[in-house]
Amino acid sequence: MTGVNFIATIHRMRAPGLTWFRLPIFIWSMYATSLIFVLATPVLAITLLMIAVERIAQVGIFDPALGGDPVLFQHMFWFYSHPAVYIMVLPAMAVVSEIIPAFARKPLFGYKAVAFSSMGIAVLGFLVWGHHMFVAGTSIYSAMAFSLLSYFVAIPSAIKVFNWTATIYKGSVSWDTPMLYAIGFVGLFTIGGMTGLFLAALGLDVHVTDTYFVIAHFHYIMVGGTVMAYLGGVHYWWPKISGRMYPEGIAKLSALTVFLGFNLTFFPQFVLGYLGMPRRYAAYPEEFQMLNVLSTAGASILGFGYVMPLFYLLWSWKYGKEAEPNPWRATGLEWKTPSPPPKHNFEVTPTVNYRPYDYEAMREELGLVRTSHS
Amino acid sequence: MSEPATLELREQFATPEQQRETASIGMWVFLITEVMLFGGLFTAFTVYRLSHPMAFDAGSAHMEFLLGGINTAVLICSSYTMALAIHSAATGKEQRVVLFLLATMVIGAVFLGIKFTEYYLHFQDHKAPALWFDYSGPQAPYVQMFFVFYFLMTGLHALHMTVGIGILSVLLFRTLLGSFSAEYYTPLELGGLYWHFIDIVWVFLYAIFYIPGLHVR
Repeated sequence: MTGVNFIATIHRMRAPGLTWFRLPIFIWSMYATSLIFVLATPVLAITLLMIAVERIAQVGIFDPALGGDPVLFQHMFWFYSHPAVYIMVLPAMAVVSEIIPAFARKPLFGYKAVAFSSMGIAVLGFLVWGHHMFVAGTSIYSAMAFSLLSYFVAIPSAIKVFNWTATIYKGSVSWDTPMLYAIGFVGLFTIGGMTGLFLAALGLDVHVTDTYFVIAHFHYIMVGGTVMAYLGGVHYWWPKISGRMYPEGIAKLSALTVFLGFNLTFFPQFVLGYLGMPRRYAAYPEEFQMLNVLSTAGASILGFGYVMPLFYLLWSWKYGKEAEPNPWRATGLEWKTPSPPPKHNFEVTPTVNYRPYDYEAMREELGLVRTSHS
Repeated sequence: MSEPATLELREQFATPEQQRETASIGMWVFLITEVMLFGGLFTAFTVYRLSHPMAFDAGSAHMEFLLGGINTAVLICSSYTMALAIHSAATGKEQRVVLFLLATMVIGAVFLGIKFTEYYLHFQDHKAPALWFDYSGPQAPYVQMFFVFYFLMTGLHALHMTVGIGILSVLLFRTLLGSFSAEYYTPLELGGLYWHFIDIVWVFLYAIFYIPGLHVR
């Protein structure tokens, strides 16, 4: 339903003058996410219905004891569940695409490439589910096809990473908390993405299937990537949401704690997995103890890093400094209305007659440009 | 009579045209989710049919071919009356809208009646998996699987029909209240889209469940 809402809104309810290529990248990413919602979630729903009927009525659909095919269940499950991780990571990329230009004071590099790479990820995301099933007895040819298609996902992902990096290049970067999280996202997502390529390679995947390597890869994308970006987004839009500023000093400290704790938790797991420690077991041989202890220590630090924002954000909701409409001097329509926005968002529906991320125009507006040079 | 119905323009829209288009695209996207929902069942059915063709044909031979055929014709008639209802709304003939909506609902109910008669006959034939299933021929588990999919898919379709009749009754009520006019009948259009969608699903269900068994009889 949310997907239906977003798609209809983005198609038909843009502000006057807001053409497709003036949309913030955030909207492009949400559009791609909504497509996945709409196309993938019903398949999960019907798969769950079939499972329920099988269990309740004791009739065969997927259960091999009753004549069903469990691999079919895996296909239908992963047809939803692989796109589902893109449902999680695309909005994170959306947040990062907003934060980086705002704190580098530069237009997003390669706007169209970033926009289309979101769509590319949404489309390719539907064609790679089989890479979860390399060891489930699927044919070697389907495994090769899915392996190749999984490599393709790296292309739009890398386009995004390169464009974010190029946006920062020669920007006047300020290191506020949202930017710290965004930079953390780019670094950790890159590691997560690269190890994803390892896993897409058939030979290596068979070696590390069901080991801690997979756990580490998944968490570098989902926690190091997605959760970091969401925390960055919460800080970035906190003034808009609550009308208050969060305390910058402790927020920076928490961002660094999260970054350090995260890496200490999950980096040893890459090594553990490669050395052969299987996942889903509590016990391990003695030679793995050192790395496991490091990982546990990291998890404690990470947990502490997560709890801090909970407290200071709640505190600032009541006692924080009152926020102005545009504390970051960012472009984007949401910053042109008071914080928090009134019920109807805008007194008059705004007309958009400028490019997205037009930070040069913003600099002139703020009087930061030397106009008299010969 | 009350004054002619005008458009209820919600505050988030600038023009009636925009509101209509937004509602319409929302409905189409919703129908895409329905396609994916039924698509999952069609896919699973196809996979098993390909791996057990004999058993699925044997199951199909037990279908009530005649009743199913009549039902297909019945449902296509209801699509026709639904289209007439929307046409009447577009030309501002409200009494005809009421008439055709009622006709569509009655025909839909007839469809459900025939469908449940079929279910009853299958039950008497001991072809109701989990309740009462006897089959002595070869590949009995896969013949049962055919019936599992038959009941699951036609059951889900019947559920959609029931919801559709509910939607039509709301539309009928709003027509009687005079909510629609030649200028504004978007909800009727959207209800019609839904109704046509479930009719089309039935045509495919008829094709995969009833027709393959014909050559086995």
